[in-house]
Formats: sequence, C-alpha cells, structure tokens
Amino acid sequence: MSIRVDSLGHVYHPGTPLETKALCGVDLMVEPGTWVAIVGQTGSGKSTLAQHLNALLLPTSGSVEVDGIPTTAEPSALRMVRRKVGLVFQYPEHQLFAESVLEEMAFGPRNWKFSEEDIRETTTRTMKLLGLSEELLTRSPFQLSGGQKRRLCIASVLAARPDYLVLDEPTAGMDAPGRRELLGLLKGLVKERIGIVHITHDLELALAMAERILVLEKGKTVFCGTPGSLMDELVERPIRGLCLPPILELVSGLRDYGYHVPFTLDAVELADRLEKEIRT
Amino acid sequence: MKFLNHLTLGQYIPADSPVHRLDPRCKILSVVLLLAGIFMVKHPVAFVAWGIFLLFLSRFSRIPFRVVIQGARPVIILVLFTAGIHLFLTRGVILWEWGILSVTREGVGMAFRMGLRLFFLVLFAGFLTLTTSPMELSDGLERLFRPFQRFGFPAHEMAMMMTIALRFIPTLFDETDRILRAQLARGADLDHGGLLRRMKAFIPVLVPLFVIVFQRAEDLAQAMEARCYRGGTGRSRMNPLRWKRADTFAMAGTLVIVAVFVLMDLGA
Repeated sequence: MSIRVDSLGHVYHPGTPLETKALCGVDLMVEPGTWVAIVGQTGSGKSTLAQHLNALLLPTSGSVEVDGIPTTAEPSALRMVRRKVGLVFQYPEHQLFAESVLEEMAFGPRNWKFSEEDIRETTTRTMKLLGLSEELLTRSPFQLSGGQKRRLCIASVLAARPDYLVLDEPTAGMDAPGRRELLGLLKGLVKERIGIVHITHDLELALAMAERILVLEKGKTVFCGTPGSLMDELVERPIRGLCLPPILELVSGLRDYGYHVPFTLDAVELADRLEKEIRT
Repeated sequence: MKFLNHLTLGQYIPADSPVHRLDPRCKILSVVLLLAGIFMVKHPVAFVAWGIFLLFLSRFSRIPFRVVIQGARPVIILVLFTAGIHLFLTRGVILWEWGILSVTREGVGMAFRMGLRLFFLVLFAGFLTLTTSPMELSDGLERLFRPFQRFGFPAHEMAMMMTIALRFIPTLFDETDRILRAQLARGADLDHGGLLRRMKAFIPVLVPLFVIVFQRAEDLAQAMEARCYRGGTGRSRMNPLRWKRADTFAMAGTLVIVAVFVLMDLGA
C-alpha cells in the first residue's frame, strides 16, 4: 500500500514548438501515515508531479502506481486513483461554488456515490477534524473568512475519505497563526494514517514537517531523503535551487567561525548549544 | 491531458511582413471592402479568383496557408448548416424529392454560393486578426469610429472594452483549465450522461469562473483608477497610428481588385 513513482517523465505539448520537459526520471514513494515534502522553485516541476499523483496528468515515460493501480487513461483506473488520492490545488478557495458549506462538502462524496447517510456522517466528521464549527454548514462558502475558506476546501477533499492527500502550497497567502493551525491539523491527519504529500517552495517548512523530502530542480531530482540527511548535505555543499532558511544560514556562518553548533531549526536549542560552546 | 484547447479563431501570429506593417485602419477598411466584394460576386470563377487572391495574401503576409485554413475550422458547421438550409429551401426546378424535402437546381447553386461566401468571409476576416495585434486592432477601430463620437458613439470606451476583453481571453482559459482540474480531482464527471446532466455538471466550473471574472474586473478597475485613468478625452498615445504611403497603395490595390472582380462578375 503506497504511491510509487518510478522514473517518471513528463513532456508538455510534445511535437510542437512549445515542447517542454517538465519532469525527467523522478522516483518517489509515499506510504500511508507519512508526510513527504516536495521542494523546488517555481518551474521545477513540483505541481506537474502533484497532478500525476492523482492521474490529472499521465506519464509520458515511467509510471505512477497508487496501491498497485497504475495511472492510465482507462476510466475505471482513473476514478479509482482519483478516489484514493485527494488533491488540493494552490489557492483552492477559487474553486468554491456551492450555495452552502454543506453542499460544498458533499460535492466530492456525492461524485463518488456515497450514500446520503454516509455523506452526513463524513461531512460532520471532517468539519470537526479541520476545526470548522457545525453552525457554518448552512452558510454560503463565500461568506467565510480566508482561513476558513482554505480549511473548507481541504475538508471538502478530505470528506471523500482519500488514503492520500496532495497539497500544493497549502499555506500560501496565510498569516502566521493560520499557518500554524493548518499545519497542526494536517499533522493530525498523518496520525489517522493518511499519506500527505506537501508541495512547497519553503524549505524551512519542509524540514520542520516532513519525514522525507524530495528536492526538484528543472524537473530532475537533486535530493531525496530525510530532513536530517538533507541538512547534512547542505553543510557539505549547496544544493542547486535551494536557498537556506535564515536560521541555517546563521548556523553555517557560525560553523565557518569555528563554533561546533548543530544544524537545527530550533532557535532555543541553537542558543543553548552556542552558549555551551562559548563557555568551554 | 489538455482539457481545453485554445481557440484558433482570432489569433494573432506575429511576423515581419508587409501586411503586418500596414496601418490597422488600412487593414480594417480593406477587409470591409473585400467582404462587400465577396457578397457581390456570383460566378464560380470569381470564387476561384478569391481563392487565388487568398493564397497570394498568405504568401505576402508570411502566414502558412495551413494556418489560414485552420482559422475557419470552428465555423465549418455554420457554413455547412447555411449551405444545407439554402439547398433545401430554395424554390425552382426540382432535381430530387423525398417527402417534404426537395432539392432544386437553384438550391444547389445557392448552397454553393452561400457556403463559399461564408467560408471566404471568415478567411479574409481571419487575415485581419492573424496579421494585426489586438492592440493595433482596437486602436484602429477607435480611430475609425472617432467621427461618430459627435453623435454620442462611445468610440474610446468601445475600443478599451475590446482591448480588455481580448487581453483576458487567455487568462480566463488558464483559469477555467485550473478550476476544471480541481473539480475533476474532486470526482466531477463532466462527459457522461445526457445534455441536461452535462450542463448541470458544469455548474461547479462556471460559478467559480464567474466569481473570478468579477473579482478581476474589480481589481482591474481599481488599478486603472489608481493610475488616473479617466476615459479617452485628452489622452495621448505612446505609438500614434501613422498612415504611410504603403497604406495608400494597399488601399488602392484592394479597391482595384474588388472593383475588377465585381465588374467581371457582372459582365459574365
């Protein structure tokens, strides 16, 4: 049970002057209950990869398998894959359309032919899971606040009970408290055995949240491993297409001065270690 | 997978050709003349002549003939429909009859004529948009309609509206594509069931699209006002239109060609 991406390649507009290689030989594995981050700059192919995971795009070469089902143009396979993998696009609040929050939530489950009773149950459950109060159910989705809209969109995808959730920059344009809250909620989903694929250009966020990180640059894998090993790598050599978060920048500066401080994202820990260093 | 293909009708293909360099006013007036010409000729030979002229134009403007023909693809159905109506509804000498349907000799002629006229109309009009950028086009229209401003015709506003509308077509296509993908990811089924079901299935795409359109319109209005836009009066241009010698020649050339074609057709 996992999403397996095997030497995936994708070419946009093949055979035309607009032909572009968006992905080339990318491998990735996502198990249920893990958080995988895909990091890269704009145009690195991370959104293209995301759309492969639920068969909105099909591989030009290589393969994508979701729990053993390869993504192909075959309609039943397509539906199975889309059912298993929920995809939340960037700025998902642009896709709200229903008259009420309830209807918005029920859209996915209804498309997947859930029973009415089941829809009620899954709706209330996911609303609670994402911290949306039940009195919102009858409101128009357009009346919600920005943060609520974002959470509603994620909830509307989750209501269909996917096994994996792919999120494209879920925290884009959110303020710090809203961000922290959302990330906490997503962390909770991992505990519920949902596999999360988090697409972001924010390395610090990825290092803090993910168990595994894939770094893409111009459609190619430049790194794939744990946050710890990524930080170790970054000490040795800069990785193409990655900017160090400010705190790591500081650490690497301190190390250049001869202080033995570890690569960490925790400012308090860094301060403690530095204090010890200076005393000895 | 591409869910939406961009329209080829009304596309601009940049190139450096004598036709591209002409003043948009010259091109607009020429096209009007040509269209009038197309509707005045009847003889089959005249249509062959229009075809040859079209080939010549395609050469001269460095736009492959294939592209020119492609531009007419969206209206093929309309052309066939018009031809069909004329084929069956024209009275005259009956050639073939089946129930209430009858085909007359006049009908066959009329069907060919109207079909070809419509076809050429689209192709020639297509040349205008193929060789003139939307910007130039609306500039040209604005200038041509300016005399009517005296009678309350909003020439500047119309041109501005056209520029904005054309500018946002690709943006809205991208937007639609994105919404479509998002709803497909939520299991939307857009291409099954009867017409009514399919139309209903598009509501989740259309509603967000409308919301975005209104939002964009408001943003744009604000951005324009922030830059002190207050209509066309007293507004100067960065690239004023200039009528050159070549434009006079092109205009005269078109006039002569149309006149010759029409006169020959009358004589035949």
